[in-house]
Amino acid sequence: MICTMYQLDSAVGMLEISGRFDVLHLRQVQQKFDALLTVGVRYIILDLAAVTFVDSSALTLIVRAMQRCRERNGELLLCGLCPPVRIIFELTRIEKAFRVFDSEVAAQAALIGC
Amino acid sequence: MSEIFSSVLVLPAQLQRLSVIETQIAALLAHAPPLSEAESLRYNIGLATHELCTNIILHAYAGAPGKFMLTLTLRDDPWRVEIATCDYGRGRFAVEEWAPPRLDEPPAERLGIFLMQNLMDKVAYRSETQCSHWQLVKQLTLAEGQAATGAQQETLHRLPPALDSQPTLQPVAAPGQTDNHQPNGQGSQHQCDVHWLKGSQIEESA
Repeated sequence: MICTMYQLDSAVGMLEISGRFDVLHLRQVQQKFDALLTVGVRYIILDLAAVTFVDSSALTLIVRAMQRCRERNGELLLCGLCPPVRIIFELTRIEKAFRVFDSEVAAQAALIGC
Repeated sequence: MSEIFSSVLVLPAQLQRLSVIETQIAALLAHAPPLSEAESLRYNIGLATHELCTNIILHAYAGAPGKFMLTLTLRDDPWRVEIATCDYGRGRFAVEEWAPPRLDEPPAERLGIFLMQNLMDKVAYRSETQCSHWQLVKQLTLAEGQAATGAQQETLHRLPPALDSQPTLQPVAAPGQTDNHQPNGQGSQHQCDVHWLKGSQIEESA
């Protein structure tokens, strides 16, 4: 699993994850979330386009990260969910709590002006 | 019903070893005829098995060293995958305390068993004095054009309710293990509690 962090502007950041996003890699992703929030980012785009596997631990991390963004009057946006991963989001109804985009470009466009 | 393929893994209680599950599931399903929605099926069985093994490592062993057995079996007539584990971890699953996550707001806990219940057709837990057993079963739907036997066609009509239904835990004694079984193991030769978290026993596997 590779997790890359980008700060797009003072309030917007992006995490790009590839490979397996599961219980074994929580700490790595959590540290990147924390780093973005620490520098003042409130809006985070979570790009899962290259993620091949998501487990319940990862879902829990995503929900808690969303809650932390909202505490800062921000938002966590999802993009690039492959069909099997999207099914898991739908099954747990987690996708209803997020704005989900096909690409990180579309997610960034939705944040213009934030 | 006959066993087409089976593999037995003895895994250390370490999260780093879970990555083998994906390849083992793929190898198992490679022995099945062409399946409907094969990619999703492989992912879902892999995820349910991953959640089961993660729970064993995190909750049954809880950091203690140990090993557990994972058995993957493909059977036909009807086609199905059976996942079974046996662990000797000290932590036991508290069926009575478990409740499905509330889905009216984004759930942040208790998702592991919820996923197992919704991705598989049967989830069963049995606790004995020394060990715990889990069993997951997934019925396989053959791809269009694949011949199905009468028994297989019948199975297709017995698939579980829609995935978005809220599963509940209904402790039920397992047929075949009820002769000497009393609640909490009283009156039995050895303590054995069986709980069907979803589905019912189709038949006793070997």
